[in-house]
Amino acid sequence: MSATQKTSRTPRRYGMVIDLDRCTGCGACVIACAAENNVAPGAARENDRNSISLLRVFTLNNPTAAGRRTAFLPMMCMQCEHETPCVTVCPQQAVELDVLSGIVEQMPQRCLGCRYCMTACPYHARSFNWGDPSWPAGMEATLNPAVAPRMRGVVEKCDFCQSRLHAAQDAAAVNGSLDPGIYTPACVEACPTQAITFGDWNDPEGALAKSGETFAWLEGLGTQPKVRYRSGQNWLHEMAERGGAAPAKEERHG
Amino acid sequence: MAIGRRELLGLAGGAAVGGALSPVPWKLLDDSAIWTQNWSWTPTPVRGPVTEKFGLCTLCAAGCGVKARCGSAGVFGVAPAAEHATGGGALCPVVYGAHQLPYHPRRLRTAIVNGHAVETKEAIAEVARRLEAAGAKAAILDERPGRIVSALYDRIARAKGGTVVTLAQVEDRSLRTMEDLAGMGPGTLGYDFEHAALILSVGAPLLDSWGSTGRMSRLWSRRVETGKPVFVHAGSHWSRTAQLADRALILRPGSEAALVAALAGKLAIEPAAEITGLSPASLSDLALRLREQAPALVVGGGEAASSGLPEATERMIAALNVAIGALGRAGGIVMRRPLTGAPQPPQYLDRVPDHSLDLLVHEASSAGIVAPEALLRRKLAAKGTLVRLSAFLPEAFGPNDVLIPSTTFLEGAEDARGARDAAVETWSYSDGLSSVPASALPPAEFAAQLAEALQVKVESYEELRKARAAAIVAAKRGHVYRHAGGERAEATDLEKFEAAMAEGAVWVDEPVEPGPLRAKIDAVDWSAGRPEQPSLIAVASSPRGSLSVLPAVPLASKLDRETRLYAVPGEVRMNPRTARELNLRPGDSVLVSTPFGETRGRVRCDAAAIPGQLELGACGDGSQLVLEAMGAAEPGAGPTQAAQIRRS
Repeated sequence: MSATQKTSRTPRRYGMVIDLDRCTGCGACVIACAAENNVAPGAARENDRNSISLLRVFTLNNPTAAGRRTAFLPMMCMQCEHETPCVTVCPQQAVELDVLSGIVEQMPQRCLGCRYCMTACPYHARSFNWGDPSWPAGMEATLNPAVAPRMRGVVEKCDFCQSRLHAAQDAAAVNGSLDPGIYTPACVEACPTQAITFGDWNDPEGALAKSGETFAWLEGLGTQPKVRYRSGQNWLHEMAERGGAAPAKEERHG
Repeated sequence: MAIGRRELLGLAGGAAVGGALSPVPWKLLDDSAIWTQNWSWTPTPVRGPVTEKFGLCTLCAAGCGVKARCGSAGVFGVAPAAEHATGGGALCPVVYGAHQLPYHPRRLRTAIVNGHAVETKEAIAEVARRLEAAGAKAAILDERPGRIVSALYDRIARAKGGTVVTLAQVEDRSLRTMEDLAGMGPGTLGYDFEHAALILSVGAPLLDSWGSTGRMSRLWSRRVETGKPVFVHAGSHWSRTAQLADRALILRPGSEAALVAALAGKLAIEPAAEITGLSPASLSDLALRLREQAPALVVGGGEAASSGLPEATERMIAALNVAIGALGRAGGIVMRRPLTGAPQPPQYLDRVPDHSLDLLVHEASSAGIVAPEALLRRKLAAKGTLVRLSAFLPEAFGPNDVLIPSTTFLEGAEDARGARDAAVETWSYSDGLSSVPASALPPAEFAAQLAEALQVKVESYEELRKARAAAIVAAKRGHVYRHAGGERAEATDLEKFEAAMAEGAVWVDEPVEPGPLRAKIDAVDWSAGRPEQPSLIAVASSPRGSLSVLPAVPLASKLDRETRLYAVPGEVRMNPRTARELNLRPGDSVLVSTPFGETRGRVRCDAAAIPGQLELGACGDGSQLVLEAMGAAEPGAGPTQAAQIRRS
């Protein structure tokens, strides 16, 4: 769908503001995301490099003496709006920016597994299915019926819980509307401190517009992420600018 | 031209090399890989109508409200019940994957007696026989006291001369000492955090799934918005709470008593600073704040995956609370009414004399409660029997043990009394949202069958539930919160009360008007020893709610191994500097030993780890050895242990 196509409703630009001062790093969003999107429990061989995690929480350490020592950084697909790196490099058109929702959509049926998008993503927010997803016997009964498990050999990522968006669209259609409104992704629902606010950047009266001063991680890249952060701690702003967002790195020595 | 063997071999070799260099085999490989992508081994979810039902989380005693999303095949998702009085719209992280627990590979599907699979009825008859024989030397371990089934356990134990005991959870440890000093019964005090201006945690993991997640999360959110309450954490290691607190004071291990004595004015600042390793200025400042930033309160207890502080230190904390006026004051430690219709609270297992029991019936139907195996075993006599009602196979079991399969998360009827730390009692119940497997017994059914085998006459679960509902309504106190729309109604009409509760509502008692309470603190011993300073300490790390004798929620792997948010089970996390000093390299197999035990693991270096601190992942399989090494079965062993490490 081209960006100039006329639609019968006002396009939305769904996005998030994550308050890093509220995040306690509990990981509720991580598990809620995995359960909602039918991500299989990690097999014994899986680690932080080869597992499927659509949302990760990184631990950040304050390099300066001032302020809090640690902060936690939830990071998922940032839904970049400008020259979206993964869309640009995909040879299969398996990644698209939906103009009606502003969500960067991944279509596993088109994906050939080249992983160019993983290389291009500045946030490392994409995962590759190295094997077929599998659950212990009987546990398939706990799969979310609205989400198809992805097959081996394809890339996947956060899509702001498309299944919930579709459910909202269905509910709106029943009421004669085409506008799904503001729905609630699983991570937003699970966050015990309400650190994640979900809304529409196009809505001047919406929750995102009222979020106050926000910043993007790696803003300098100019990809205009729709997931933004807020914090009163200067060291986090500085870290976001210079891209020091990596998780606490394992230091090799010897 | 003659074609010989040499030519044939040359042709075959050339064809093989040429074929391999052509695109054909690779295209075939690629096509077959793509073709098999959609074979039936990728599961297809069962489609069908989706409904939402309210239930209770039974992973701990708090009983937070959950909203379960149910499809044709059963529960496929869990969300917090926004208006629940205990959960308050928040749940522990592992609860979001707890609906997968019924299908855990370690699910117990048959009763086991002395290592042999038997019919459940036979196992219960055997338990009855041994319980009868043990008489007064029998105890029932009720991990979540105050439930309806607790009344059944109480009747059974009384009828046969035994006792009911419970575990002192991390939230209990400070409150029970204060209750002892105030001469009040178990469960009669709670924390009024909501009105506190300053909360000092002495080793308590207040911001790491302590108490009910919803309550602490609400407090944390309020602190971000208003700056109150101020969280100050004093502990011997950099825990998650220390990382998040407004102010963290890292003490020398074992010097908590000196800190508390100095804050109470019973020890001069200078020597206390020397013992604790803190600066005199920070100690004086904290002592001043505790008095001026009223209402303030102090919480002890230690970490969930280790033992609490020594009883003497807990008594000092209780006396400090009295000294700063926190006892009986709004924003402090307040009195709460006992739950209407509930039996007398049981005594704590750690206070039962060692090797004094011939039989211990452990109701382990909750998957998230920390029950150190070593503590259970130590209370049993040499040939004592441990009976476990559990949904999962434990890591290990003894030759005399009896295992009976139970229900787990969202299976079968359950009720919950509410969080131990809450300022008021709550009560809610659920009939279960998933079907009960044929082999599994809900706790109430287990108690009823055991009573029948023992020929003890007890009311049915339903009768007891109705009786408690009637008692609550007759008391004319408190309110009922309904999930739908968050309606609040008076608990005055039994029919309406039962109808609301059946839909998953929660009854909340009225708070007791804060008033002065007395506690005998004259006898508190304020002497603070000078602990030895180990060069290396061990700490246990775990997302609460998945730490127990039972296996972890499958998706908990996302929190440790797959995202490194918590220490990985079987790994020893340390700072690279510490590893260099110990001449260890990442991946080395090591043996960590403490005064209480040993555990093995592999070295993982992480710049975020604190130098001189070994972080042991205590979640899922192998966690019992970590608990043992951390002295979790030794009351008062403290949250950190001096450690030694060597290659294994």
